[in-house]
Amino acid sequence: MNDTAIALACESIGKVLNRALEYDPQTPQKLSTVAGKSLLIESTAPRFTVSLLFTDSQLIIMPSDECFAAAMLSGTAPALIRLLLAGDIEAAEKCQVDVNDEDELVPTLLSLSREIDIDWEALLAERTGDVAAHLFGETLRKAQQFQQDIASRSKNGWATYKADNNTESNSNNNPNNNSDDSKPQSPLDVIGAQLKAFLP
Amino acid sequence: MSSEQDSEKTTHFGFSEVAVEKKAERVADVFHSVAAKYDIMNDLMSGGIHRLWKRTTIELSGVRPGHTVLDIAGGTGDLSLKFSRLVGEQGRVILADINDSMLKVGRDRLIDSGVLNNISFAQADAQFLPFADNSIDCITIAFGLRNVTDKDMALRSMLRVLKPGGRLLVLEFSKPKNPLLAKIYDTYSFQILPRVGKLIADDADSYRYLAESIRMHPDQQTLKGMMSDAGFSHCQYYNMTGGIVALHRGIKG
Repeated sequence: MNDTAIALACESIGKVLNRALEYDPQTPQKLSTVAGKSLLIESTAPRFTVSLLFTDSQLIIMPSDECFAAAMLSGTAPALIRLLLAGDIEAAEKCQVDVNDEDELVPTLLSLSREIDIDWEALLAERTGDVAAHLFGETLRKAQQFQQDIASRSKNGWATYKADNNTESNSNNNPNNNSDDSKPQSPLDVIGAQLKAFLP
Repeated sequence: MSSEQDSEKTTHFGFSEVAVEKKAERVADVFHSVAAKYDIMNDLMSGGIHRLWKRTTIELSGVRPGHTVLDIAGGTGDLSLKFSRLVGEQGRVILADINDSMLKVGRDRLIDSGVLNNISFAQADAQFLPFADNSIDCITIAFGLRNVTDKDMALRSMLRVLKPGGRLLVLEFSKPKNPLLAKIYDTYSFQILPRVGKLIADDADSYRYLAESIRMHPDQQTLKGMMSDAGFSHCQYYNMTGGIVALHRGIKG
């Protein structure tokens, strides 16, 4: 691909990230810990190399023609993404990412990335206005809460269901009942557990 | 003895050699002559593509609201106008040019465009920038470095005023990569360009100097090396239009 196009793509990604980071009040403190350092990321498939440079106010992403750096990650693009999602340098080997890190920069960056707390509602409010952003945020929070409730009640329901089942089994004195109790045996068990939790 | 040696020092002015202290004067004459027709000539000479080159420069500048931008050799203010919108009211753009005729055209144009709040103007030599150390977020110099007498000194001066992490972007004519394109470009530069200059700006010599100065300007790799030598890190260049123009970018580490 054309170098200029890659540079422009990197710049656009950098712009989005920097914009988002502006909405985390801790960003200046976090960036100051890595200011002046750079990380070389080499993707072996697809083949491209980019440098991440950190200043005390922003992150700069640019294509690079270097082959080696004091802090460097090398692997396929999916492997690099897996490492980022894992957020732990210990996962590098499992993710098949080669790490060269003389400055201990990568663990610091992964730790910082875990701590990022972007006020995305304020970010959204700039585009849509406060009311729409608040309503959207509230809806999303409620949906998340509902999801958590479902999971929690399903778990509780399953525990009750198992307890009831065990009581019945014990009362039947079935000596062959040695199945794994730690998880549902079939989807029907899950549905049963959920119904038990929801129904009065 | 020393002053005698200094007076013998020469530099190129197009294809000819002139005394170092005379170059700025000669370059100034060229730009005094072309200032009034500079924009229309840019559009004619490049077929309008210079707008795309400048757009790419702005995109790669990473300039954000609140930044301070120095547009050296800013001339008629093409880049400054766009930067002024990018940096917003909290930011600041300084349009600098050594040539007062160009600066006047740029200033009038920006005022006519309604850009007043966040822009200032400075008649300044790139080799001796009159700004505080570590005070600028981004410096651009578009089609200006080749006219500077001591390019190394100018690059060091730019490095001094940039904040750590600040960027320098040098947009300049360079060497086409394709030999066929290079041949066509040569013919265009030396046969057609001076005639267009004569027709539109009534000044063939200035446009002959333009073509000659482009040929004397360091190629992509050399300029990249000069930027690294001056102290910039992560120096990169991006060829545009087959290398006719290259955008060099360096970061102050």
